[in-house]
Amino acid sequence: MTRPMPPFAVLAVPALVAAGGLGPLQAADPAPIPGSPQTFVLPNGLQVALFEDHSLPLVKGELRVALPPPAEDPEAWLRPLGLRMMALGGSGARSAAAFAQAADAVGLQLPASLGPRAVTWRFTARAQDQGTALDLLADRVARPGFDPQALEPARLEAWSEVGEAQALPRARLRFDRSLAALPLPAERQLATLDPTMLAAWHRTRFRPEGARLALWGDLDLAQARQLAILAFGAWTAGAPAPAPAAPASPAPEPGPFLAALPGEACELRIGLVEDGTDAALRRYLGPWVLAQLQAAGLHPSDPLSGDPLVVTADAPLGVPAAPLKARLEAALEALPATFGDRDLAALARQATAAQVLRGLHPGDQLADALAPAAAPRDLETARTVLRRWLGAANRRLFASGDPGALAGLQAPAAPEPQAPVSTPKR
Amino acid sequence: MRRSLPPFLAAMVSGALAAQALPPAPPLPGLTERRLANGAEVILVRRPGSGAFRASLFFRQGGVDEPPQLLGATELLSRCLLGPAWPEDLRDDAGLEPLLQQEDTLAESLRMAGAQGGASPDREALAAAHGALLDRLEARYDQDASQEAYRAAGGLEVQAVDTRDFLAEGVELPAEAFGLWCRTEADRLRRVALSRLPFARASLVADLKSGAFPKDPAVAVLLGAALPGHPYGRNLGDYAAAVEALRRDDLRAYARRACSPGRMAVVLVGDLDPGAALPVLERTLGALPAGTPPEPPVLPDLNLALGDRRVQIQGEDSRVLAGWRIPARTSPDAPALEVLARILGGGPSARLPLRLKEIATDIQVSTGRPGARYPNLLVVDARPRPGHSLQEVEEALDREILLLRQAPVSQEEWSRALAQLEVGRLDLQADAGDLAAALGVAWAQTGSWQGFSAEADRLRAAGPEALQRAAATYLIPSHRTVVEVVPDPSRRLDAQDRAFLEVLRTLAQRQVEDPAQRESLVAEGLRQFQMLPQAERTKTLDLLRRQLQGAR
Repeated sequence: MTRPMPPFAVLAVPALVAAGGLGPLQAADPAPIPGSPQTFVLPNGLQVALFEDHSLPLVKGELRVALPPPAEDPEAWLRPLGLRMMALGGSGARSAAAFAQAADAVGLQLPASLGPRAVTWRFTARAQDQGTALDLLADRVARPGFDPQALEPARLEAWSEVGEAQALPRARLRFDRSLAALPLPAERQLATLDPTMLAAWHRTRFRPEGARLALWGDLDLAQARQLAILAFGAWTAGAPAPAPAAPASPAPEPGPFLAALPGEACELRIGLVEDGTDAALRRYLGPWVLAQLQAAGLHPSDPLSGDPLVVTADAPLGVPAAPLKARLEAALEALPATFGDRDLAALARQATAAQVLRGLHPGDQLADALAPAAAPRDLETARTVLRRWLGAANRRLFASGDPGALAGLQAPAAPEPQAPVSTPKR
Repeated sequence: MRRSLPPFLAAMVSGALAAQALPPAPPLPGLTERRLANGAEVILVRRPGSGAFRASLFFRQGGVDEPPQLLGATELLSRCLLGPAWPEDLRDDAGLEPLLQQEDTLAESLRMAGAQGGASPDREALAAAHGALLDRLEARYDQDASQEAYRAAGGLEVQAVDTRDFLAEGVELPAEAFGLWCRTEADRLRRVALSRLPFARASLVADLKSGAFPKDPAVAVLLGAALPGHPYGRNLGDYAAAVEALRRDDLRAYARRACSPGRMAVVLVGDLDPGAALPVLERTLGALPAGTPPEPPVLPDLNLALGDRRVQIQGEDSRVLAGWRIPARTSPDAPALEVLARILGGGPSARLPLRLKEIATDIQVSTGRPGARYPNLLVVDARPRPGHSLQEVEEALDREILLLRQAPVSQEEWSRALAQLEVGRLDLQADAGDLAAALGVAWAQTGSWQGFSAEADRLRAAGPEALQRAAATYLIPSHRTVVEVVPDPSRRLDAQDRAFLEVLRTLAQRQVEDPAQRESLVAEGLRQFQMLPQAERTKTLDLLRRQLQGAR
């Protein structure tokens, strides 16, 4: 595939070659193994994995940029708003309208999802448009423009969210942010935010050496290398984010998050904080947790969706929430001790089976390449992970309903957090 | 009943769209089509090397086909006939059948006692006996999920779904489990045990009574108002009592007809060799008795130019939904309408997101609501931004629709829409689950899997001028229904207001079929109720409650 280089890439590639940066890319290409990606690393540290498949004229991809743990990032509060601004603004040399038009012209969408320690963008494009698609992706991620005109509506929206007067949306927002371990911005922080600050935030957080790109589809290794260099070769990060001397924004609230709605039946949710701790191990244990909670007659969300696990229960009007809360907590509390060798073996079989089925879904292959699950090394490790995940310190409570029904939902004592378990390499 | 579709079916709408933008169309590579001896159709797409396959069964029998005495049957079959293959549905258990019959009788007695109102010793005894029977049934079932036949064989994504147009199920399995899948499906379709019906029915009735369905009441009102008298406009939430009254024998008899081979397509995508797979299919699913398909439903002849209708309801936030009646997917005009939807709402540079961005947000444009076998709706859904009114959004929307009728779309827009649709089509083909869903849905809605690709030729031949013609024919006021959602004042209602609303809604559901009229009646009733002095309010509520008891 040939196409003209964008101006920045024409400048960047010779510079990289002159610096000897292409060394790792010049090794002989190994033959692709079906189901296994071919991998290489750009001189700027971006890791690339390629699943070759020439059965359709199509290319799919995911780019995952690592972020520091929220607790270590004094500007963690800025992430949702910053990402919204990246999606609204232009990129590279394009205005917002020109960017949208260029993307729509090739049927390209670039949805982003914010996780506790990473942002992930996905795309799908015809093979003939793969270069355009990667250029647009690189522009959005590495060279975003923060439009001052788009900032004001986004600031107002964030302001109205933070200052929401109604009990229900306010409680929901605070609950969601607490589960994501992201503090809400203070009004002062929102008021002083400007495009320069956003650009500095982006420059220090979005770094190629913490990014991984996975590609699937109708391109070979040589094409993938050329495209990756052209699109991302010029991406260089600024200085790393400064270590926080003192937290600039408060830690997320522990709750409980209550919304008094006179005359309404009670809805109660217990959510588990997802700050990236034990992420790969939780992905592995997630199906077991889901099955156990469902077998107990509860209504959990899917822990594999990437969102924090939330267990929901409703009570008819007039029924108090406290017993419901006790029931949910007891169910979560009991699980780690019930996890045994048979469960570990069953999960291993399930993981093997899932690996076989992954060949049916290119999207799963990409996701797995960027965020794999990892098996715990033994039973005790698994139980430790479960205790930390499901334990009282990691739970957050949301409840809405008649004030009478909400009586007795006390704020939990804040227990000491435990250290995470290291994730074994696959 | 419309539930949120699992991913493999969520792709169907975009599949329908994507199908119309194909370049000159080769048949799908690796596709084999065969009709089994009993009339079941097989659509097999070979994907060698993956070591796994996606297997789906589609039945051209959806909510739209339910006879009035069996409303909710499709939903129940998706919950207790299809999906996970539990051991009790697949083994001979002489003790189970009498228990299930006994439960069915007790449940009916309990329902009748409940309908007579009030508590009584007889009713309490019945409830206790019924509860004990449910416990005995539950004790016989395998609660261990690993005992489910497909999970035990390394399967994942076991799903069942019901829509207005069809009933379907799917699972992903390693290639070596193909024989197991064929035998299991043939076995449970032959038995129709419905072992978990008591629990599925109770759960569905609870969902319906709790108001959990429909998930989007505004859409339910739009469908009811735009497609009056047609099953597409029906809201199962209004028929909880009918679902509760469904008897097991009736449902089993219905299932044997609804899921008969003549209405079934077996859709397989994956690492399967047709030469080896087809004989196995013939011996198993092909050996099911052909049976007698149900009578086709008697449907009203829906007049697309029914007139401009407008309904106002209360909800959480301001929102406007505009729906235009459009023809079925088999109509020659359907592809053009799909592209029009894309030109209006496909991506941030489409007309509505671009031109209404100052006044509206969350703009969605879709077709095939709630299905596409019959005339359905093209729906624009939008929310006004703070400081802007519903009227502003509606007027802007009217202007854009008028433009579509008056001027041809530009070549650039046409090309952009085609590019978007082609990406969608290719993306569907890349994923085995999505492709199986797209082929099955095309078969259910158009009569052939080729609906997935044949519409492309029609669209390509039509060209951009066909869009203006389609807009001028269908996107006109006589085809339109508008639902305005205004913020719900119910947060300010007291307990008596709420009780009044509940009773009045129940009464209205029994007497007024048209949801639009019903909502208007309820809203007006509440307004008048709130104006009454306290003593009168109490009296009125008591009166309505007595009326409700009498109606039972």
